[in-house]
Amino acid sequence: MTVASYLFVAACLFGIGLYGLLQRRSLVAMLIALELMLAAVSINVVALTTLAGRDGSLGQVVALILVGVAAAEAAIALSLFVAIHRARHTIDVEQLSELTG
Amino acid sequence: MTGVPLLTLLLLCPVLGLAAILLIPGRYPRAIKRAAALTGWAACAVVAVIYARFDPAAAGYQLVEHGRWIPSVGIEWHNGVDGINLPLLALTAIVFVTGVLVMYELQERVKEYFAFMTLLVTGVFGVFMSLDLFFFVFFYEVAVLPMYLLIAVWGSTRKEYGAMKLTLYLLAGTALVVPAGLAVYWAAGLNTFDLTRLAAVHYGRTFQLVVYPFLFIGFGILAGLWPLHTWSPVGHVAAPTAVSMLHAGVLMKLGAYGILRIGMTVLPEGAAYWAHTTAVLATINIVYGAFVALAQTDLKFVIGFSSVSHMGIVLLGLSTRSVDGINGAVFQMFSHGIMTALFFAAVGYIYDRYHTRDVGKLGGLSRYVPVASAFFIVAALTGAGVPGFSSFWAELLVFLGALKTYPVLATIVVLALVITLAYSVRVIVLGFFGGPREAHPHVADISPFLALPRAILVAVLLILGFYPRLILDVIDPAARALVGALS
Amino acid sequence: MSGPVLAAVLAQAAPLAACLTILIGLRARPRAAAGLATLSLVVALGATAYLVVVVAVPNVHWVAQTTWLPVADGPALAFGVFFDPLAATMSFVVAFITLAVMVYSLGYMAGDPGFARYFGFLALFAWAMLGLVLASNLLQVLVFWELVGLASFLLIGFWFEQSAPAAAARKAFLMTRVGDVGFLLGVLLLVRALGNATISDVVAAAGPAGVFSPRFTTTVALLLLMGVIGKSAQGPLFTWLPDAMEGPTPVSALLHSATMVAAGVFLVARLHGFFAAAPEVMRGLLWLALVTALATATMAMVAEDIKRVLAYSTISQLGYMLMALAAGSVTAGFFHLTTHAGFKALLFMASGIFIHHAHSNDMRVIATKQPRSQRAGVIGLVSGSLALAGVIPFSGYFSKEAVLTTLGQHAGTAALALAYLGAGLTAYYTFRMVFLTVGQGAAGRRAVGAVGDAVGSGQDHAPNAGDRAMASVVLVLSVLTLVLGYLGGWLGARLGHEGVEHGPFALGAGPLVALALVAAGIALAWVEFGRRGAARAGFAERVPALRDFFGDNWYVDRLYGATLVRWGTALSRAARWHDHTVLDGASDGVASGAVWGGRILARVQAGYVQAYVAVAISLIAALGVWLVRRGGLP
Repeated sequence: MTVASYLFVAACLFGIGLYGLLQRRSLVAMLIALELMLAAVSINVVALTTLAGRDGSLGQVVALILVGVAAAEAAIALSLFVAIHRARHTIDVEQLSELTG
Repeated sequence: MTGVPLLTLLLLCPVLGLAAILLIPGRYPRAIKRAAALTGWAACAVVAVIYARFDPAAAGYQLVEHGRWIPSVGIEWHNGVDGINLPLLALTAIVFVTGVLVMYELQERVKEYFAFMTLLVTGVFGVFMSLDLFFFVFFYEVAVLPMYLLIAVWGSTRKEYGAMKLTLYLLAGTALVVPAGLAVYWAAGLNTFDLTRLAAVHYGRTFQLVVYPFLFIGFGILAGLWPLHTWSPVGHVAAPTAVSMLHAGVLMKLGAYGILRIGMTVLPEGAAYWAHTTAVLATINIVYGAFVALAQTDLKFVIGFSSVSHMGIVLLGLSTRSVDGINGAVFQMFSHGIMTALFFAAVGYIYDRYHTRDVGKLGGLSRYVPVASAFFIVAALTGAGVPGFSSFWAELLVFLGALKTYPVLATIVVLALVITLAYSVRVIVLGFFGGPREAHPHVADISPFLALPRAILVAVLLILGFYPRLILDVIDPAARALVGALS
Repeated sequence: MSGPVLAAVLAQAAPLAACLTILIGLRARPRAAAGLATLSLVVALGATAYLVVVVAVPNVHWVAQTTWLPVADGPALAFGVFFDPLAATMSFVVAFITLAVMVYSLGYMAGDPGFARYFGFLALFAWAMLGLVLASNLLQVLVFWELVGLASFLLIGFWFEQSAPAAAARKAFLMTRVGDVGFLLGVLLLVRALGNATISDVVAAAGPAGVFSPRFTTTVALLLLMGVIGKSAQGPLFTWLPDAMEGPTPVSALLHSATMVAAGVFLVARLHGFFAAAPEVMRGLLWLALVTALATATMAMVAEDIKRVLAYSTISQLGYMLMALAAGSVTAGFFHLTTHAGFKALLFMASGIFIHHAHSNDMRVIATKQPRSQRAGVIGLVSGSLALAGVIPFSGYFSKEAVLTTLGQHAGTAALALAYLGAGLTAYYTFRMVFLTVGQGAAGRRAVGAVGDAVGSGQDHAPNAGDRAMASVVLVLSVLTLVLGYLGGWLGARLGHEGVEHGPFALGAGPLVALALVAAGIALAWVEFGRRGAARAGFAERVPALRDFFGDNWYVDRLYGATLVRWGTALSRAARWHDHTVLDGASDGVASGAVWGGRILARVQAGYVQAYVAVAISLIAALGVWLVRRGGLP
């Protein structure tokens, strides 16, 4: 298995995540898609650090940190979504567009 | 000349006045007004001392002050007087003190008003005395920005519109001046903003031809250059009395002074190349302003357009680049400043008492308020160029200068004197002669205290009208030196 | 300062001091104001009398100057005093008539609320007029020229609360300024050419040895004449003078007959050497003055207001003065100016007595109010009229004779014939005025009927001090009309030009023809107006078309109203529209455009998170692709 196949998988995951981020209306669905993108980045990091005689352990450490970051970010995001739902009774992103020009 | 730095002292007068006004609590309006008046008299006294120390025969700038400010960029604290800015400093002091006295009946937000007014005057003094390009523009902004608040808060007809329009136009002017100034700074390559040194550099011809219009139009906007003058009548009408006095009387002269001190002195070839165009524009100012004034029904609009017309005479005098023209232009700056201050002061009293400026509603005022009417009539006659008042000599010198270089334009401008008299006499007859058009409330004639500032202005107009050499002996040597340097 | 120079300065300074004092401090003290003004004129009269006596040698002048204005090329403009016998005599005439009018005004204007202001303005006028006469520099003349115009404005509009005087004052000021603009241009050209405008320098430069080309002299002469035409109400600029009669009668007597309007004539006399170098211009002036003289004579023939008759007559006589000067004789023109000042002021003041008594200017109304009871008025009116008509031995005869003789010598037959016709018309309209006003005895009054009878019949009161003041001035001037005629020779000797040709009682062909025409005019007036049972309607008044044409200033005012006034108003409205709609519209449009553009750009910020993300991602992707193709960061 070459590194390329890992990169390909990561790219697919990133694409799916990006599509979901842009297409889904629910904030929670956007969060899930964002997590997918983050996972794709983790795969990329792990794969690329094994290239050309490198150790690969740095990549794995980064991936673990990213897991923690993702968890923290999900916690904050979900709390924000709860607050928004309490204020606006909706989490449909098309209705949450007041910060306009 | 060592000793007390008189120019900085002059500048400190309104600064200290501002500090005093800010410190006095707002619930003592009379103390605030007294502080402002005191500042004004102090400024007049300092100007008188400067005048006494000034030697017209000596060449160059006098009472020069140097101080470090930002040496790495070449910005200095650099002031000086010569025959051209000394009368303008005197003009500012006179209009300032009479303006304060005219507003003595103000009730609303007295503290803020006089604070902004002294700030404005600080800016004006700073511009006139500064010989450093940076500080010139800096004080220019200090003078322009308080205008917005002064008009928007204390003004009358369409004040928000007038204030915004005025400020935007003047900032547009600055937007033209600042790049041009920086261009000069870099082209000179001396790492200095000192105007005297910048003027000594010989810039390339193309550079001058391109940069001069920026300076001329940028400063010209403030001077009421056609067709960018429309902020002026609207702004004057909207502004409260003393602000109109300062604005038309002094601020518009900042623009002409900028053209003279920066445009013409630093870029003489550019000025020479564009002189014919600027003369034509100035002539349009004169004729157009007069015709529009003829069709106005609001007294302040008449005065506003008459200011546009008279500033055209200043611009024409500058365009001739001759001794007579520059003498006349500087003299007209002073004379028109006093005259228009008197105009606005006179109208201010009428508006305060009758609550209208419409000549369709006023009429026969000379019968009810003869002294107040007399002030207006004197101002109107001065504007019409009647001898015995100072404007006659100023306009005469400009005509003389223009006749040599632009005979056709000069003839048109002399013929336009008929229109000038027409609109002046029209408002006198409509507003002050005849019977009242509407029932007027009983209004007492102007009190001696309020008449005092207006009488001071009349006295200045008469004294210079009878003996113009009083001011011309100061201006003439400087004008001759300037013209010598131009060629 | 030598004696004469001091006198010249004093003659100006005294009225100026009085004017400033009155207008600033004495508004509430009418008697003090009147006294001060009169006193200043007494001083001026003394000073000018001294000048007349001392400055006796012709063609020699006194000059004293001081620099007034720095000017680019050449020496600074100098102002000062310049007088020779011409100026000295004129200044004496001005001072004398002004003093007479002031004394008269003590009676005429008594009780007027603006009494102090009136005397202040009269003092202003006296200062300005004397300054004009004694000025050394043409620019200085211009300054005082405008100042007398200002005084005229203030005095015509003295009763400013009424609309007619206010409108008349405005008209006078504007029309004279049209002329003054030409004058100013001429003076500017002179200063440009010479570096100065001193009268002696200007005259010398135009002379045969001078530096001016004939074309330049002609141009400047035409421009200067514009001022003369405006000030002396000739040609196209005459219509302000009849309207100026809205001012108080003493003002009409002083400014608009004897002195201010004569300033134009004085200028031509003063610059005689200059104008002599532009003969075509002088020829034009002659014909312009002649046409004006005849036209205004016809207007006088149908006027109903006594002051308007006198106003038209003034314009007509000014025409005669200018004709004489244009034909080349300073003496004749100036002689006529002097006698005219005397008898025209007299006529106005006499008419003022009637106006005061009858409370009306209308001659037919005056006739119903026992005019013959005003004996001084009658004496004044009759003697003044005899002088105006040119009946020997009154002063007007001699001066008019001098004018006609000059025309005969230099102007050609056509002009002379028309001038004689004018003399006949003058006699006719003058005595029409006399007969209409005082001609009918008790029978005539009854015949005239109820015209104005119902309107407050003038109550006879015992003559008070004011009436006595008026009467005494009128009587003094009446005597003068008998005496002044004999001055011709003296004047000629003083002025040094050719004097009045023949002695006072030499009667050659010319004078006889003139006297015959005058007699014919008076006779016709008597037939139509004076005798018992006369119809009191003149031949011109019977033809309605003529009456309307003559009575309405030959429709000149209507012409101006339809053209110049209309065009001026249209231009000003167009300018206002342009300023408001085009220029303001453009700047307001720029502002709205900026706001509109801002709103469009603001749509990018839709508040739509996903749009932001999409844009950000695509930009970063593009950046990444670009970097990869470049092979790394620069």
